Amino acid sequence: MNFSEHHYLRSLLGFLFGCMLLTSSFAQNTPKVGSLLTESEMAAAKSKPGIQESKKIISVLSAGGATVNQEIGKTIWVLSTGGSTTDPYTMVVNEQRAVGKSSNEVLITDSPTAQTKVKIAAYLPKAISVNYFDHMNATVLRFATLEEAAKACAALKTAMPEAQVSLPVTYSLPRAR
Amino acid sequence: MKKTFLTLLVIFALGTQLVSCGGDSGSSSTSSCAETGLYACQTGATEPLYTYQWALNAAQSFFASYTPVSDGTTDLNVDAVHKQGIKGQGVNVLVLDDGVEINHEDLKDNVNPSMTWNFQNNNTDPTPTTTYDAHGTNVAGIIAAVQNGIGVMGIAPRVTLGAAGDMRKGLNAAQQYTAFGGAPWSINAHIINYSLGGNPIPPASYTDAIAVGGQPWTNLRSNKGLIVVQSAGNEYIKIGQRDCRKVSGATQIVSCENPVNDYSLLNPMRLSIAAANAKGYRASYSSAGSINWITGLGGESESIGNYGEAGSAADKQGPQIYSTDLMGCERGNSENGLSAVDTVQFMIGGSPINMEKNPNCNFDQMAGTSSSAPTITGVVALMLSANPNLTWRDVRHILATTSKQIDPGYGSRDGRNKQISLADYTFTDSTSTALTDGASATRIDYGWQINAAGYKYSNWYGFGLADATAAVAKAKATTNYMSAALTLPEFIPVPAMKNKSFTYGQVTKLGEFTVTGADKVDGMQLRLNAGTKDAGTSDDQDSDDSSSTASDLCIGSVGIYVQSPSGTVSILAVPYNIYYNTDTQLTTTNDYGLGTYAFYGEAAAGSWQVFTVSGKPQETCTTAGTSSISVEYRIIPMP
Repeated sequence: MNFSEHHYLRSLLGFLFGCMLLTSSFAQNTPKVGSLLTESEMAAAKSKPGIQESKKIISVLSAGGATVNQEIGKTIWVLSTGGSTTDPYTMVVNEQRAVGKSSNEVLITDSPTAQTKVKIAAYLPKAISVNYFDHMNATVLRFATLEEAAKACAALKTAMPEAQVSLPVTYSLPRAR
Repeated sequence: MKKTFLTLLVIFALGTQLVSCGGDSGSSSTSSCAETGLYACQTGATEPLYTYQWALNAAQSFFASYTPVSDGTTDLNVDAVHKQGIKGQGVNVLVLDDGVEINHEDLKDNVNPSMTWNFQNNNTDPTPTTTYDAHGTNVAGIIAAVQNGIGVMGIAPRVTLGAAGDMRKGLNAAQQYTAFGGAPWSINAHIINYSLGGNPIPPASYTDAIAVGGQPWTNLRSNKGLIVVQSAGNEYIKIGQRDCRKVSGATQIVSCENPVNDYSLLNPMRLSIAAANAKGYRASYSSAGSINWITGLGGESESIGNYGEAGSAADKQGPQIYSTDLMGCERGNSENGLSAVDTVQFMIGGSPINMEKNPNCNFDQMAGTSSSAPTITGVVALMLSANPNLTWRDVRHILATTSKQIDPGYGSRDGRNKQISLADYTFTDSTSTALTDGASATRIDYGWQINAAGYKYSNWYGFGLADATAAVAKAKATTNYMSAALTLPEFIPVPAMKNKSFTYGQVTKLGEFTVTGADKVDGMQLRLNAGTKDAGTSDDQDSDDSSSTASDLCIGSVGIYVQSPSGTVSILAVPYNIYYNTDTQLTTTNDYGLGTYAFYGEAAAGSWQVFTVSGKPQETCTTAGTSSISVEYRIIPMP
């Protein structure tokens, strides 16, 4: 066994052990909204593909001095899923190791619901529910999985540049004050 | 038998009050009274527990003579409004909390069943199903307890009351929109009281879309806008097990938590309410920060004696806010089995005081900004009752301009007027207010300030302690109404403050930005991210290529100060803040939000300066002496 093989196996074993710990830990003690994962738990969570929670365009100067637009985004990783077919949720962790909860929703605000209905028509068959708040110019779409919600969110951001489209995640529960 | 006797007692007491109507009992002459009915234009003196409701009338309260815990003058100046017969008539108040016992003997007559919901089981009864969730019932009583000769009286005892529980379980977006005006049971709310809040670890991302509010609320209340009154938080000293670093070993110098870390309070339509005690000082727990709007009354945290009269406010002792509790001695905060170590005799089921004044344990006292917020909700209800045409902007402007300055000298108490060495967070001997680029010491609290528009503002008290009589008088006199429209401008990146390097342990002027036009400032907000840097450089401006890496930015060590074109300095965050001990770092996409109302009414035009005032970071956070930061800003204009 050369160093590379040894290193690879050690990494693999470490990864598997981390996954086991993570799975075991989550199974026995599901992380709560607002808690922080340890570095090792985080490493295990990030071993899976992330989901883009949001993105924004910023203007930056290139090396040549020209102004160019750059897209930067926030990534979250799925820890577990739960709930029912009508009330599903996904526990996630963000880049800062904070645990959050998504109800697999896409929130569309600053857009009259009459206009929103047209724009989201293609996504309604995949959504498990939709709530229109006409007088608040807000719409909430809900999907079975966070992945579906993220996909719809990204597409609707492009389709509805005049609106605020987001993937709401709760990272802190309210408490009595 | 006991109930019959008590009923007779109440009727007798009420009769006594009616006989003395117009005298010193607090009643007014009926000639100018617009209210009708048994209690027309009478103060809360008709209620048996009124004497303990110092927030209504401190001078006549039981606590007035207990000078270590009460100054006998600090109240909300409510009685004069009640004597006019203004008691919240025509105003719908919705309490979003852990639930409300809507059949409580002192609440039920004000409850509108079409304004109730329970998220726990999705039915219309918000009564808590547990024996201990009394928080919302306390809140509701402070606002809306009925004037009926029983127990206490709310600040607006004739409002229409709605309620929802259980808001603490963490609602999803659809549920939040439902609760905050999006459902048949919430759409008719004129005021929402939200005595809840969060303390995220680490700082969340500030985006407008997630927190409900702002533009969606301007259409409510017949296009005059919903008013949301919210608690600032009880984390001045610490948050649970999360402690904050002390200044020269002393606590209580600066606030541990910053209310703004609950980003919902950055919404201008949500009023962040601080708390004062019966001595007229900041309650020991009340979180301080530059987005606090005004102060209500919350009492002290450690109440002892028969009713809260024992001890000293200096030791965090004193009376709290008397209100409604879950009914019965097996439920709520007043109950059997308590000890004098935990609470006052009034709440200990079966104690002689309890048996005399609270035999059914239907009433209790509660401290916190959870209590101070509903005192302000009550005041706002009185204002809207006096003038229902006020827009949400009118309401907050009137509150800001009629509130009273309290505790004027706090800025120099406990050494707070001294500069702090940023390297080790100890007091120096200098009291200079100078904010100098490169300095290793500076002030971390300016106390009360008067801004260029003439408004007094303090991070502890906002614009001051509410004065119901002054606020209602101004409400009644208002005939020109401010626009209810709300536009939140996009954040603007500041080129001079992109990937800007700063040094820990000193003041660093990050740069300036210039605003033009004739706008006056309502609020000012910043959004911060860690900068990026290339390997081997500490300050690589304007280079965001893919080879860049995130700069360590130990946000717990970083204070943020802003100086307006008029010269007013506001502290948006203090160094060694709540994120210090958790070694929290900002990311390049964090969008950490901060805000301030210290510049309210000032001209926006001119050059704005932004400073980092940084302590030394934990070694585990970064070993470098510098970090870089990117700053975006927006000025929210007055209409």
